[in-house]
Amino acid sequence: MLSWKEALSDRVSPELTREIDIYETQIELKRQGKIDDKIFAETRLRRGTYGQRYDNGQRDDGTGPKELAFPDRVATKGPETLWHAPGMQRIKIPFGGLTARQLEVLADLAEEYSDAICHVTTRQDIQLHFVHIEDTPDLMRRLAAEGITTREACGNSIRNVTACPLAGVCRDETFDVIPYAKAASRFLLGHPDCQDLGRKFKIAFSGCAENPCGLVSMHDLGFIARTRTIDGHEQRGFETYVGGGLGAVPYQAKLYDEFIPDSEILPLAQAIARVFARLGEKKNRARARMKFLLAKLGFEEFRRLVEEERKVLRADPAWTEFLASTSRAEDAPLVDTAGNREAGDPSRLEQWKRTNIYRQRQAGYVVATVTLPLGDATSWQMRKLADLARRYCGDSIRATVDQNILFRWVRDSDVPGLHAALEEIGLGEPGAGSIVDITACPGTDTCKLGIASSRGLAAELQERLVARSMQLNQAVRDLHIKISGCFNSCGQHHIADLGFYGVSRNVGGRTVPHFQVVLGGRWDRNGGAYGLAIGAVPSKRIPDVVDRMTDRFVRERSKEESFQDFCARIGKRELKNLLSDLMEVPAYDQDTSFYSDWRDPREFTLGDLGVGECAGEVVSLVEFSLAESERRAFEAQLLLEAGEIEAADHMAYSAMVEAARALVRVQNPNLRDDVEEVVREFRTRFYDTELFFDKYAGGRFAQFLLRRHEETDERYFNEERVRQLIEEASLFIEAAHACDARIASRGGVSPAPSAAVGGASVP
Amino acid sequence: MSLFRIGWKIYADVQGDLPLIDFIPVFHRWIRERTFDGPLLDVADYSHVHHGPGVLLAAYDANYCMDVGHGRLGLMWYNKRAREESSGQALARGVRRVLEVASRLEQEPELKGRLRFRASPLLAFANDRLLAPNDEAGWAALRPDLDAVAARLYPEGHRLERDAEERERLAATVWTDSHHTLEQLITRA
Repeated sequence: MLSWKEALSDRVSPELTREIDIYETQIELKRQGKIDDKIFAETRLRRGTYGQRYDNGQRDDGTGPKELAFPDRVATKGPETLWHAPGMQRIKIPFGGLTARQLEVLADLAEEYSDAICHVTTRQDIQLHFVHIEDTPDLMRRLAAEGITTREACGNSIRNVTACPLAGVCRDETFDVIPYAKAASRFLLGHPDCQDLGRKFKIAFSGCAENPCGLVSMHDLGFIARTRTIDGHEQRGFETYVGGGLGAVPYQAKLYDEFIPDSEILPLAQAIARVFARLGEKKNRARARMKFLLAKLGFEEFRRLVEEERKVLRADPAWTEFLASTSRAEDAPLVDTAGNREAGDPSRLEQWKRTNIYRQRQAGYVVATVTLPLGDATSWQMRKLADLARRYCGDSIRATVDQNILFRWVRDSDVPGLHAALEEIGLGEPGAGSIVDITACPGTDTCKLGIASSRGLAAELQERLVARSMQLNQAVRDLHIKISGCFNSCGQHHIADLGFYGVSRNVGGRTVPHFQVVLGGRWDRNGGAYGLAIGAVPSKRIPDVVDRMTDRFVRERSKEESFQDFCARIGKRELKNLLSDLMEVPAYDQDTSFYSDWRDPREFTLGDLGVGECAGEVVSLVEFSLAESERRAFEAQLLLEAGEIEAADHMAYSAMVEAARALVRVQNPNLRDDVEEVVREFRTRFYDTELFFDKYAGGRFAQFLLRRHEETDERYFNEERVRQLIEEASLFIEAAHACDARIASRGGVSPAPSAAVGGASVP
Repeated sequence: MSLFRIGWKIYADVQGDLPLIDFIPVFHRWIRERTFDGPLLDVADYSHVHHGPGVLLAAYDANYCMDVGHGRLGLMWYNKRAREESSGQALARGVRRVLEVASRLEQEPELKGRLRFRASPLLAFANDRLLAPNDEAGWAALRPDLDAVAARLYPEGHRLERDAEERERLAATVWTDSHHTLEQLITRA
């Protein structure tokens, strides 16, 4: 086999094949300089292909910024992002659900394209780093062959839908939310109403209100399972929250409705997405999340708009089709007993069982947590985990928001054997969900926005805490530490007992890495409260902060007082006093160690901060559609060269339809996905009004589309005519660009409300 | 396209205590001093991972790491970018690179006296499951090129031992019974 495309042709769905082929063409077009930077950046981001630190071609080596000598420093794959700089690939794993085979393919991809490490993120995704963009189409094909898409893993889109990893086996849940999370994930993926969002949008499902797994409070849209009884019949639904989010300014989600029937959650999500797309901030990235829209409109107005939007939605069978399968048990044991296997060290096993085993509601079964240090597993470990999953739990595997892996449906009797096997691959560490199980975002390791080394600090703290974990008081062991490299909160520091996020301070003309200390956040109750920012402490003194805070907590805690209650009781002033001496930085000539970060000997600088791609690029729907029409025109040329005359004609025609559609939609956001309607509307709004007319050519370019639309003669499909049509399509697209620019220069038309973007199909 | 995702690992012995994180400042300095041709990009610390890539120096065209795979410390190098070269040439270039970098590491003042690489055995691998699957056909295709490189390195004779675990990438250990120094191998590579 010469290519993965050929090798996997019978294992990837036609839809995904087409999607990845299109992406590959876009890469080629970008390489040829035929796609604008901004548009290409958003295009790749929507496929999970992110930039990575230093991809602007510059890196501070500790003595000042230096240019990285890439073979070509001109070609780019986005604004200030060099083509040759490797990047990060995010792989969306809805609700963290993984199969053994998927673990294996992730292992292979990490090894061949990345650095042999699979990193579990705080949104149940998997990330690979140091990936070259040319490798991404094959990487996506190999994932697609195992049922995984990276589509909309980044960019201004609906991000990975998360859910309790215990759903289906949880002792406290109202019902299993996985069928709903799955349905939401499928329904919203690529949905036309979700293509013009001003910012990312996050959704979570939780099976109960009390436990933390779903972290609903920090999501744009969160669902907590509820039931009610009407006329003797139990009805399923969700307590629904909107407008939560962490970031620099954390917002607790607001209760939208105490009970949304399960048949209504998808249309509600769709209606909210439409309101967010229409009215959300598009220019100021820092104010573009839905929480800001909600604050700006006020809750009542927001709700009114959503309800109005809901009323005008065209009914979609997908809203309820999935309900037929929700009452069936999603989960069941997938393997027979794994058979006898010798247990390992009994005391290690006992420790591990205390923290890493959760008794399922189904008698005789448990969930085992595989603690991944800093969320990392090697390719070799991933393959071994796949083997163990097949033996002990089947495909009931979950990636968790605290960066671990769960094996569900493990038989009680198999626990010793499983632990012994995990020990053999270095994954038998106890401490899941405890103070040693630290969550950290990538920070300065790979993130363009990272200020301080969250992973360096996490590794350091973990080493120190593990070394004395047996001496730790139980109340301390139960605490959570979460670390973000900057205020954007990917490490979820707001909801930790001890949270830290990277900042810096200038000391004597030098920049010193610090972490802002955030105490008393609430991990339970679905991330029910955010912590108090106490002050910034030099990075190198954060271990002392942990020691001092935990010592004081143990010493002065009253009975069963929680850490949150303890912090609230002693107050922010006293907490600050407690840490105030740790906030001081020795002069450079006294101790230089404070002037570099954990596990990075370079003198600290903020000079490596790049432009974040987390927010995606603000690309209007018109720009996006015009780029799509250009791609189709290009593809028409390729088809013609391959001798596929009729297909080339259709492609060129569809390129013009797409360009027309881009313009019409600005004026008519409710334009349907129908070629007849697109052309009719184009004629009425742009041809008859002469809005599309060129100063010199008049309506000639518009006629290219109108004439082809009316063409029915089969003799039409000859090579010469089709070649001409492709030329005409290019001219039509240019004219569409010019028309869009003219409209914009006159003050434009108000941003389009949510509208279909999927692309009208040529009949 | 010829196989270019080629890698090598040379095993190391450690005298005394040498934590993996001690390689971090060395790799950072190499970036600063532009020690090798082509851009060296960054250092990734994976010392917390069991039997993993240890400490990794990411370059534009390859990864270098003080790898602890299978519990054995060694310098691993693997190529990530295609060049105008045959797979045999890629193998030969790779082994030269790993030997040179190993020799360089031995000389680093921060590590000196604590790290010594073994001239045998060497691990060679193809990091491409499409062009070089770990099966008989993949092995038959790779073996002649690998034999040729090994024959140059170890003129007195060598033997190849393929890793038969099919899910792992195609890999083989190159053994010799005779004694060699790193410097000798570098001159022959």
